[in-house]
Amino acid sequence: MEHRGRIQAQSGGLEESESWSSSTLSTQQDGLDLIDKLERKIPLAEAMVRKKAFEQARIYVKQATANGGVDAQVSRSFPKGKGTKVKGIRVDIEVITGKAFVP
Amino acid sequence: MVHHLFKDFLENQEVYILNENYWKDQFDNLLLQNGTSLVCREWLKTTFSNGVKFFDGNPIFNVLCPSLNKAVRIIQEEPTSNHLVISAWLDEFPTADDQETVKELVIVLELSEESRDLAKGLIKAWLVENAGSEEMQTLIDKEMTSPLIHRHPRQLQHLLPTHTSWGSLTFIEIHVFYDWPRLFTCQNVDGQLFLAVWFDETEEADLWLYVNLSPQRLATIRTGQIDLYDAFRTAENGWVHQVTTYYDDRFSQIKAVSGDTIDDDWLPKRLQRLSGASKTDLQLTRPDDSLSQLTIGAKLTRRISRETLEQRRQVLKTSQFLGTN
Repeated sequence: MEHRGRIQAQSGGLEESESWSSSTLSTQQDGLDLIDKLERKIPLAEAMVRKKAFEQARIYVKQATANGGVDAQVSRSFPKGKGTKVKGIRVDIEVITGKAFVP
Repeated sequence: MVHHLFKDFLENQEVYILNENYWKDQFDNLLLQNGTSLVCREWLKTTFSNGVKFFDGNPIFNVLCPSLNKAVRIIQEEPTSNHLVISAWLDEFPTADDQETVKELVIVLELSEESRDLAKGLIKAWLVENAGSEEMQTLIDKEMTSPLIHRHPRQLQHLLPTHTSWGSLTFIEIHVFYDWPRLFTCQNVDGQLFLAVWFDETEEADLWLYVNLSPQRLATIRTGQIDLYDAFRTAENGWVHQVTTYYDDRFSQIKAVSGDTIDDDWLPKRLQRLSGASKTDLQLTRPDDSLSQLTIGAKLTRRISRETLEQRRQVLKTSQFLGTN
């Protein structure tokens, strides 16, 4: 079975992503590494306005691992919470097939 | 003033379940009232692999209508004010076989009778009337600029701290601009230099960190020898200032905190450096005349190179601030 998904930074003119696709399960560390990679890849301004989003995405990956991972299909948008409803400036985690963020 | 529904849905799991069912009923009724035979189903997992529910409203409701290859996802936030809070965008989700993508309408809201009605209007256009992406985007843009939707009315005069012991401040250089300056250097009338970074917002104010800089320190930050994290964390005098600038005429607040005790969440990421900043870091968005009159102090120090000055002039010439939500 193929396990596939992606982490995206979106809104306005930005659409960057890091994806995974493998017959082996992605782990918590795989997820965190992809988030780090995406955060480094985008321009400084885009990274700064998504700081909270990236942090919440990391927390979600850790929560998923603590609960045995997540199964497709999952679509999560960050940030969530007070003062974050700004023009869809966001980081998305999408689990498209299989399972992700296993312990 | 709006009328919130299921206000404590994040605190009470029974309320959360009722809230989920409320959205399902609203959706079913919408289809029924419009006499459509559209068949739709829930398609996203809202539990972890061990069966534990997310219980965080992300999403609170989701539905896929296979015949249209369209979906709707609603993310519900905890109410933070009595204003109408809603946002929406279009997205695409790859299918398992990667042959095509599901087109998705995503709505983020604080649930009130008012935001519910706006959301239902968008869903109706998207699914019942089967609006195309372009048409839908036009509708979203129109609905989301409604004067009823709360926006933080940022004004130029409220971005820099006012009525503080620092006196009047003027921008020296804006390093990161995203709708408004997020990272910049400024100085007061005594020539004291500051590096400032925006780190959060509330319903009534922006929150910033300011750190005093010597000209030498500023030079090392500008050339990337010191990353932005350490620029604040290891402040020259050990102190960083937490600054609150209100959207209205209230006096700004300054609170000194030890640099080594600041919450990491407030600081720029480690290894983010100004030398790596590119022109794309100066993000310019929708214009707002109320904030298009950014002026800068006439006194320019020798520390600012001709090139920097020219860049700054270009930024100030083209910068158009946005009073946004």
